[in-house]
Amino acid sequence: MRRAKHFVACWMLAIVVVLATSRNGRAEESSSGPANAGKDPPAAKLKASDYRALLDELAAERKHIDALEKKVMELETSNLQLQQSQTALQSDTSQTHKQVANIQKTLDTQLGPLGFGDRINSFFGQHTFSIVGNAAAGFAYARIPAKSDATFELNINPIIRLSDWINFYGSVHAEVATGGATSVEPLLANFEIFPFGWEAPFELIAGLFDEPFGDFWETQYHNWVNPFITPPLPYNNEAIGPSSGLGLQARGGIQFGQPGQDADYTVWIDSGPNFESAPGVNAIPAPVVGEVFNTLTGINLATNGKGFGGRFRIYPLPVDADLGRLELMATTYDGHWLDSNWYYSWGAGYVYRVGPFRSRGEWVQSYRSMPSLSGAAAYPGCCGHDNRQGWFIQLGYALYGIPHPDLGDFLERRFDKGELLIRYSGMNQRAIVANDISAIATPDFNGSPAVYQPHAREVAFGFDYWFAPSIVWKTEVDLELPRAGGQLYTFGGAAAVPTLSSIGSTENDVAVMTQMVVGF
Amino acid sequence: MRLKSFFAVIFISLALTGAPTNAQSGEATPEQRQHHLELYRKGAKLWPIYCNHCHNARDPAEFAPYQWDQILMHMRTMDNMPAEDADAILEFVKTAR
Repeated sequence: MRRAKHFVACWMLAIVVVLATSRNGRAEESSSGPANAGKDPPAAKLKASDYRALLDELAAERKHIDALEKKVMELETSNLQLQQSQTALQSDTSQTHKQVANIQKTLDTQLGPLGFGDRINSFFGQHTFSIVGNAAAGFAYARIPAKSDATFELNINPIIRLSDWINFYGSVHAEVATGGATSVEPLLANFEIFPFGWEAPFELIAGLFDEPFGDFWETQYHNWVNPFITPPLPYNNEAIGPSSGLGLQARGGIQFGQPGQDADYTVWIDSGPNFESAPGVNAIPAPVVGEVFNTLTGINLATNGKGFGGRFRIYPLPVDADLGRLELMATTYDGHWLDSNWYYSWGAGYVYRVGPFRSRGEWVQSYRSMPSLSGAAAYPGCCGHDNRQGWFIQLGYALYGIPHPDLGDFLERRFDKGELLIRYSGMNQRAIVANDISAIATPDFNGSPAVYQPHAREVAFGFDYWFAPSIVWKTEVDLELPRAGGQLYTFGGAAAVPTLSSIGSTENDVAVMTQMVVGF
Repeated sequence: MRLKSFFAVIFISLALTGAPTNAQSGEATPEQRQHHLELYRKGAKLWPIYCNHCHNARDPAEFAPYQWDQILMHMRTMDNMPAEDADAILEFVKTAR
């Protein structure tokens, strides 16, 4: 029964589907039937052409888009390559930084706690090089020779710092004066050595150096340093000792109290004193009492001379006491000249400076044993001994120390740069050599023959105008007041031995010098 | 446990000893800066007194630092000044310029 009902329902459903399908087909045939044929509007045809144009345009746009996409792809590829390169560079940079850091770490830590690299550098040297020096141009007039001379001087000082423990210091001197007094010579060439390091109070100077006898040769020689144009008589043309030596110095200083309270020592050996009669110099043919030292550098190895000296200085005033700086000095220099003849010298001095006031002074003495000759070999002035004594004291006062409230800004600045100076110096010796006496001024000699007298005395007045600490215009008036007495040895013509005469009374002289000095 | 502590101590020790100090990295420590300051002050006080003893004190600006190294080496030799005073003056003239 149930099967029969199911069969009938299926058949009825099939009939309904067939009917519905046929109705839909007729409806479609009626909408597109002959009543509408041949009635399509022209707009419909235009749309088709437009559609084709649009299709063409679309195809062209597609091609353009494809081209752009291709370019984008290329750019992306290029960008990727750049990114890869950047990454690689960053990686390299990072590695480089790591390597540098490792090297630095190795240098800093693994090669020793004292800084191996720095120590290597300090040993092998930085070789820094500088030139310092000074130039001076001046004019001198002396009354006795009644003449004036222009002078010029140039000192060049090369400094080569080879390392932290060795320094080279040299000096080349050129001098021009009226009358042909022209010279170019090396004055200094030495190594300053700190064999036990910078901190140790022990230094060496090896080579050609200024004699550390007293203070003048070493510290006051340069004309921008010496406030006077001329040196004091014990260090002038009839000097008490040689100005330089070839040898070795040991020196150092310690602080024994508060800052400023120092003591120092200098001991040295060198080529010894030699004189103008020495072999190779031969300014005069034979040694004689009163002859001057070798006028070039003081060096002459042909004399078989030897010298040794010592200088000790103490600075008792502490800086914090505001009492200035005081130096007390004792010095000696001894040795052999011309083989086995003895030479002794010694001296004492002081230096003091506080505020605008400064002063220094020395007393020095020398003794020289002359050769022992007898009979026909003896000649005037050959034998016995040759003594010299010298001294000087100088005072300076900078004008800025004088109250001057009413000068005004313009004058005050110029007034403050002035310094007034006075110096008294003297020499005593038994005799002088006539051949040494010169009346030609040089940059540090006023041209007065009175300077050479056996009992020379000089009062020097000075006025300095300091444009800068090392630029100064100096003016000096020297009153030469030699005392009577003494002997004069003269080598006449080709004579091998001198003649002797007494000097008797002496004539006073006045000399005026002015000089512009630039230290650089 | 003991082994871990041992390695921890070793690691920390290595880290501490291997760590770069300020000096190694080129920067002055506060102690070093204080030392330089004290040297500078001392040098400013000694500079006019020591230099003027023989000659007028030169302006620190006249020479480059490397030249001051050379000049102070020469001047220390000439004056026989103690090393600590030379160090102070050198610090002053090189810094003040």
